[in-house]
Amino acid sequence: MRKLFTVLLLVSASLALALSGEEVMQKVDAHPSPASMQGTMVMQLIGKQGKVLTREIRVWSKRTATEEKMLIKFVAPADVKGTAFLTIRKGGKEEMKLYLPALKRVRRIAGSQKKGSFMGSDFSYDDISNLSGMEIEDYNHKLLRTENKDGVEVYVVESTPKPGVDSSYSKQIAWVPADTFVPTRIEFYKKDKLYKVLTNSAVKPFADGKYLIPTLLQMENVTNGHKTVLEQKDLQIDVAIDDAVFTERFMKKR
Amino acid sequence: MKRNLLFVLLALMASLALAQPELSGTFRTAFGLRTQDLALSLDRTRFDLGIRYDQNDAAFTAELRFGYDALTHSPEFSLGEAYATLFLPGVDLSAGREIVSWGRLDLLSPLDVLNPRDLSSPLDQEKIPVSMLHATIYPDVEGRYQVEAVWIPLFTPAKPPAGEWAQTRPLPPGVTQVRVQEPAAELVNGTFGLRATASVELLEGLDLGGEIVHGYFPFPSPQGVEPVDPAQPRGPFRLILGYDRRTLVGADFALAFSIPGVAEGLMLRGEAAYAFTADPGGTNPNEKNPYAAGGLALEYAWTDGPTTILAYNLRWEKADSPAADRWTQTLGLLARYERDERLTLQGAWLHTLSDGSGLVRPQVEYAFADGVTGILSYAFFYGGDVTRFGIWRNNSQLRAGIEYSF
Repeated sequence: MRKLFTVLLLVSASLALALSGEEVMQKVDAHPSPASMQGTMVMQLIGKQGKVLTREIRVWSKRTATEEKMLIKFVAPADVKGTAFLTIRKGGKEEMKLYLPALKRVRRIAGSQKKGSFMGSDFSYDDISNLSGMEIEDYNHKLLRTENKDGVEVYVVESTPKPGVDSSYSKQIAWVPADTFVPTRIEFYKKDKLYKVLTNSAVKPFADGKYLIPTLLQMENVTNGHKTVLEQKDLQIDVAIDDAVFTERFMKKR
Repeated sequence: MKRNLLFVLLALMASLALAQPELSGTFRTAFGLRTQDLALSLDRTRFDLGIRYDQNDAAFTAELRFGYDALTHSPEFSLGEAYATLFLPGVDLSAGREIVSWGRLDLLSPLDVLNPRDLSSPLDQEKIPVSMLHATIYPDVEGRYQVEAVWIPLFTPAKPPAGEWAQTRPLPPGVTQVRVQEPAAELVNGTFGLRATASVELLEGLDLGGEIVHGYFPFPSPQGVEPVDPAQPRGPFRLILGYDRRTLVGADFALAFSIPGVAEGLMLRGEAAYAFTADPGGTNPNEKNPYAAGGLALEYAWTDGPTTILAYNLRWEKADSPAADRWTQTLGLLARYERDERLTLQGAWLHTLSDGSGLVRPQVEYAFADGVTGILSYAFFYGGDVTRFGIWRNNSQLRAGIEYSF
């Protein structure tokens, strides 16, 4: 009986010390984010039977206090080479443009396509533009529980979009280790049914440990058994990237 | 002579080796089966070899096309696009055989007129590269504004439908021959185009464009008759076909918007054009008359479903007086659904409201491996004998092909 009382006391004490969901996500968001990044990503599209298609993309991204820009260009395979995708977020608005070399035309993309598959992968256009992190103020965050993994406390936080926020998912549940505050697993739900699972691994320090960035990402669609593995290579952080990179002119230039 | 040729070839190969160009290519083979009589309608193999050489401020690209049509036993070797581009501060300048796409509509774009099309098989409608000087000016760093100028010194006509697609038209009484007269290779006979675009922050984003193209109709039209033998002015006669001038003025837009509570993230694209000709009143039967065309297309991506485009196109053509002007209305529906990383389903339906004819074209694409795609499609034409699509109703066909790109 005394043991049970002690356990209950410890549990209630740890709950009292634990951060709230909002605080956890604020710590995730407070992580310094690089002002700019460029590198190569190898995207493996893995079917239910385990057959693999590989795509190689080149990525440039830049963020300031007022806007975020990202450009993606496909390097391989040959049938999609030269395809470029530009996204610019500014003042709560997001514009997306796609250059298809076969059409020789830059097309503005409908906002509804944000929720669609990004070039056949299990990432949506929205997922790709949110790789650097979600807009935490658009969501309500609730701490569901804490777990212990290899001696490290892991916060499990549920984030639901606030009314009026156009989100691809009805909720997200993130596993956030207390030692890094870099989410290692995020579950995406549609109509409260598990839809996709993102696993972040190979978290590496960059810029002398200033940034912690996962370099291996796996998105699994649990409804059809597909998964996409995204490996970030030759990542360069805080390099000077000309604004001219994030333009239609650069999209068309190979 | 042979030694000189060998020397030139060696020098070319050495310079190519030193330049380390990037090679790419596409091999495609396709078969077609006409469903009307189960006759083979297509048996074509093509290999396109692309060469590209990039430097910091310049690039050169060329495409060599090798093909063989087993139905007509005709080999094909041609030069596709081949042009050099200089990337100067705020300006891209290119010269050579190029394809330039203007306008915003995917279906029935009235503004995309710079390159003629190869309509020998109307199901393919490939654009034909033409020699041009092309400048694109970027006045601002953000690239919100662009001005493009094109000069095409030599006229290139479109290729008319051929073989089973060709329509035989009886010659007028007394006419026994036809002579097609292309514009002479003179400075004044060139095609000039100017286009300006801007992206503005309205609703969820708005792109605007305006253009003027002073060029030619892509197909010839009757210009009159002449005696085959000038010594016999009463005939027989020769019909002269020529290419009339047109000056096309137009505007286009792409607007991203939402209808709160109904549909988020819609895209509306539109184009409108008016073509001025030398016979605005339709009084000269040997001169093409003016026309106007416009289209709207609404695009929406359904959640976990296809991306659909609903299009409407209206075309007015001034008739030779006293005939009534001709109006053509077309409805289009495009749908594309990427089921997974390998399988893509798409379909297109074009229906001419004015004459009740149309084309339905479902297609399945499957990626067997990186760069290897199989394509299966069916083209079904319907309508009356003398209608826009009905004239090809006996050419409905099933096509299967495979493409490999490297």
